[in-house]
Amino acid sequence: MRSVAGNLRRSRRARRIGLTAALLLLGGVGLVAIAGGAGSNAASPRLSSASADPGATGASADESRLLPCTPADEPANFETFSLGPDFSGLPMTAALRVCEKLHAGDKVRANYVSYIYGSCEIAPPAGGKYVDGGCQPPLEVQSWPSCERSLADYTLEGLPYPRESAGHVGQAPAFLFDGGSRLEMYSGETTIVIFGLSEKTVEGAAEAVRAEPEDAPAVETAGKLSTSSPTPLAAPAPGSLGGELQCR
Amino acid sequence: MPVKLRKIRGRLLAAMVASAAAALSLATAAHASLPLGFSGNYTFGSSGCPSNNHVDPVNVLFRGTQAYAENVANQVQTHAGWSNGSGSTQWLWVDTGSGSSCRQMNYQRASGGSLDSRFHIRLWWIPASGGEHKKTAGDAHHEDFIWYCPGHAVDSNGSGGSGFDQGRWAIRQAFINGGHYVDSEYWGNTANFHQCDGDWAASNGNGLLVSVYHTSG
Repeated sequence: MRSVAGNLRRSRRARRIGLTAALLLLGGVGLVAIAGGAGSNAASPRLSSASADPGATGASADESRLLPCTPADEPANFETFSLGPDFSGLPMTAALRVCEKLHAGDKVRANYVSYIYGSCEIAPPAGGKYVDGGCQPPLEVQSWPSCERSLADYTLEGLPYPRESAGHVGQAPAFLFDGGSRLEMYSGETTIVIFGLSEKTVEGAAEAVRAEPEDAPAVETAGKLSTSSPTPLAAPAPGSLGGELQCR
Repeated sequence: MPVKLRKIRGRLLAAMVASAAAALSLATAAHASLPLGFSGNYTFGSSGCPSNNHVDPVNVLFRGTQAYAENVANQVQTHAGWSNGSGSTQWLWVDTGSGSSCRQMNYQRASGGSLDSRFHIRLWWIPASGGEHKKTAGDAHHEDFIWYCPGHAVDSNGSGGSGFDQGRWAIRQAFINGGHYVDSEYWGNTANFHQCDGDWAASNGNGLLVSVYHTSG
């Protein structure tokens, strides 16, 4: 575990040094202007297909390429990961099996197993009488089949979605998204997605994930989650990073 | 003279390093707070956008020559029929052009009142956008009024999609029917949110891009 953490840190340190050096080189040629524009996406609207959406009234034919949905009380048909019964003082408070139909127009459907750690408080807004919306728990680990959700799926106004390499955990490449509040690892045929309130939290969790037994129901109570040591993560299956892995 | 030259060179070098450091700082800040470039990818329940106060995923971006917030609100009202303006205030990190700022929503539109189950969207103008590329971000969802909360809970995850997915689909269909070009992308903001009825709701991570190039219905 220590070496995994070390690998992650060393890899990220090297990347940051490289980034800093590159920025220093560019510093004299107006990089401030570029950085100022980094947040303003200059991409023009994409008009790559007809405005009348052919999939408006029904699910896409792509649904046939997806895995069948499995019920919560049966093993999922892809490898799932958790942080065990608790992590860093946060107990596992909810386990979810989410699988929806692919809806017309959507690129990716929800198909995952989630373990949620810790709790959050829902309160009416200041001065308000009624609750209006939910709250995000401190930590969540989602496992998706990588044939349905992969690094290749993300775009933002037609451009690659911003992400930052976070090195490897075991043999699984890791990437940070969304200002460090989301970390994804690509191991075997699973995309592991970790949501947390800080980069430190999600990186710590990344090094502590463990595989749940293949024959265990997708939704387990905390007491039945794996208490084994963190699992050495496998390299991504061929084609999974590029979105070419077929569901089977 | 050589000493003076060295001083000038030293100042130039210092200025370049400071410029690069500022650029690095700005770039980091932009990425840290604006995952979607134009805005953050989750709304906040209180001013200042504290990191532990996410409420809804951002799942729609309106863009085009007429995609300013007031017109988008009007278009939502025209095409979706969501004419009610009630609901709590939320905040979002938005791109101001010179950085990011936690801003209060500009408008909201819903298909019913505060005590109804309804479709609902809050809208934020993106100050950095303009001209041909105006942008307004939104958090479309369907929510049920739960008497024992009391208040609204976004519909839970299920085979028919969460309330966040249902809201986005409703906007998509309404604007397609209204003749707008609509496209989808995958943003991956699929974090789950605990709702007041005890259920969980998450977006499936798709982002809707809606073109707005006119002001009338």
